[in-house]
Amino acid sequence: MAYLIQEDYVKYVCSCGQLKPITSLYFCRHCLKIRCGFCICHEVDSHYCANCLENMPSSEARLKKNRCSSCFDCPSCFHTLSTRAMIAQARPSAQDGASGDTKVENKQPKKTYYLSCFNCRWTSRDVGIPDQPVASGGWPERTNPFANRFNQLLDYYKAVAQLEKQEKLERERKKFAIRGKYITLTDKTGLTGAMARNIAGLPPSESGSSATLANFTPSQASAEVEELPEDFYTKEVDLKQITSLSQRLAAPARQPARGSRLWPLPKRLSVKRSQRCRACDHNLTKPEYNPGSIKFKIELLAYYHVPEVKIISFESVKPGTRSELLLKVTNPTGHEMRLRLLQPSDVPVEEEQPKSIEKSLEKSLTLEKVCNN
Amino acid sequence: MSHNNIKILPGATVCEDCTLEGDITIGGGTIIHPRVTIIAEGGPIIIAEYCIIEEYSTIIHKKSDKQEVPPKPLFIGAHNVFEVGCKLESPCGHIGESNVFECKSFVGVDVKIGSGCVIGAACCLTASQTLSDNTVIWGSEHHVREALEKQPSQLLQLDFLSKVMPNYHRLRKPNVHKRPPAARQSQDSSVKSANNV
Ligand SMILES: [Zn+2]
Ligand SMILES: [Zn+2]
Ligand SMILES: [Zn+2]
Ligand SMILES: [Zn+2]
Repeated sequence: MAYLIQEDYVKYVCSCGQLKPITSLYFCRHCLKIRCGFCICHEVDSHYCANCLENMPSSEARLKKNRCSSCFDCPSCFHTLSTRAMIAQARPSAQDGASGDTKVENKQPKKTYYLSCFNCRWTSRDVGIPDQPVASGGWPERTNPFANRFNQLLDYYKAVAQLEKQEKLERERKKFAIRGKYITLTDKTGLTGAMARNIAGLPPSESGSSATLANFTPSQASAEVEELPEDFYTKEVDLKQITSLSQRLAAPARQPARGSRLWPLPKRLSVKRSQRCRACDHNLTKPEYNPGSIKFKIELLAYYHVPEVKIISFESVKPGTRSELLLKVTNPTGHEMRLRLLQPSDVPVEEEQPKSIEKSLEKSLTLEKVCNN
Repeated sequence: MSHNNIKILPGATVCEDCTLEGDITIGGGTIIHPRVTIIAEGGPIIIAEYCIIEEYSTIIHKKSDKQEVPPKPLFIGAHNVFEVGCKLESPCGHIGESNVFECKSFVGVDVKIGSGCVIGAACCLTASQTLSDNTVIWGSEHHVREALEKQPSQLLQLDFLSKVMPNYHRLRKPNVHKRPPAARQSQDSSVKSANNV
């Protein structure tokens, strides 16, 4: 028994122990177990913009910082901005007369475009963004004041990731060497990746990354804070001009304090994800690739396999008396199903083997050591 | 005020299927959709030119205890848009121009409204207050914002409605043929249809 906006009265125990309504459960056909969003693998299939439904490969999405280049959100209320057209007033008639071909110019009224929010009626004109001659794209971008530091950090972490990868490769190679079962390219030829790069005339990847690691300066915490302006306590507050906390945090690079500094936010991309059972690696859901489609290629929802329990009526529980609870159980499958009602004491306790997160923790610790040296 | 005295100026499109009570003047170019309720129980209501009053909206000039004699009219400026289901319980006196009352919004008795304001969908103003020009109220938390300029006027929509409405609805006929001197000439002379119809 699950509702869209009401409370969920009937909850099911997932194999991981979580209580969930049937609408948010999956059923793995291969393990024959109920799974939920908490205990399955979420994998990103594709990036797309929810507004213009444009698909974007993940590398491009990463390059564009997971934002659409042609759609914007309202910086005031975060609703999607729409492009509105305006026919410009026939102002430049004097100039046209000078240039000669007046008739051609006058026949086509010039259209200009601006962004506008249908929810809070914010427009790009409010903050002085000039109207654009084309409907999409070409909106002025503001540079991130921390772009430099941002790129430094980005390079640093790329180098860290590369180092990590290399170490892993190395370790694997050693492992295989001990076993002597598999022969890698390096074993066969005595070449490492770095040597191969060297021979091919490519810039050595390793030294570059270690240089970035060495040159990196960590951020320094400082106790000195900019003084408040003198009239901070005396100046009258105009609440209409001051931005809210969420408005500031939506543009983390600038965090505008005044409404006149708001800027259209490039729309964040959405992802289509497929979900996978962790125990058997089979897909539980797999969406169709097309962003416009909301269908699934694979859709193992619990709703199709697990009997649905509905509470038809109940009596309030009083001590010492029996009260009646009427349940309706529906078998969603076309097959016979056996049902057993258990006393609370008979419910079997399932044990999940604890997953160790120590490994990854250990790895990050060793990495820190390497960087410090 | 028991008798109805409804003055419809030429160019106004007023559907027959609406409730008009009391002393009401409707300016040229104004469109009143069916199922609109306008009640002038506390004094006359004057609606200026080029307003759009959509279905199920209600405008009431409420009777009050400390009423002046003769009662002050409620003047609604030009280019106001009352969207579906909004309710205006007469703030005494004057409503400016180019305001938008979005769907299901409610404006109580003691609210004074300037020009270019937007009362967002389902926003409810009950406390006594004055909205300065270009105030925008939106969202369930009644966020307030100040717009830089007035809301764009709905001239295209007005034009369209005044052409289409007569095809589908019975209309009340304009009953005033001379412009009373009180009704000001609207600053927008671009819509020519209003005077010619
Ligand atoms: Zn689970
Ligand atoms: Zn987009
Ligand atoms: Zn907005
Ligand atoms: Zn499985």
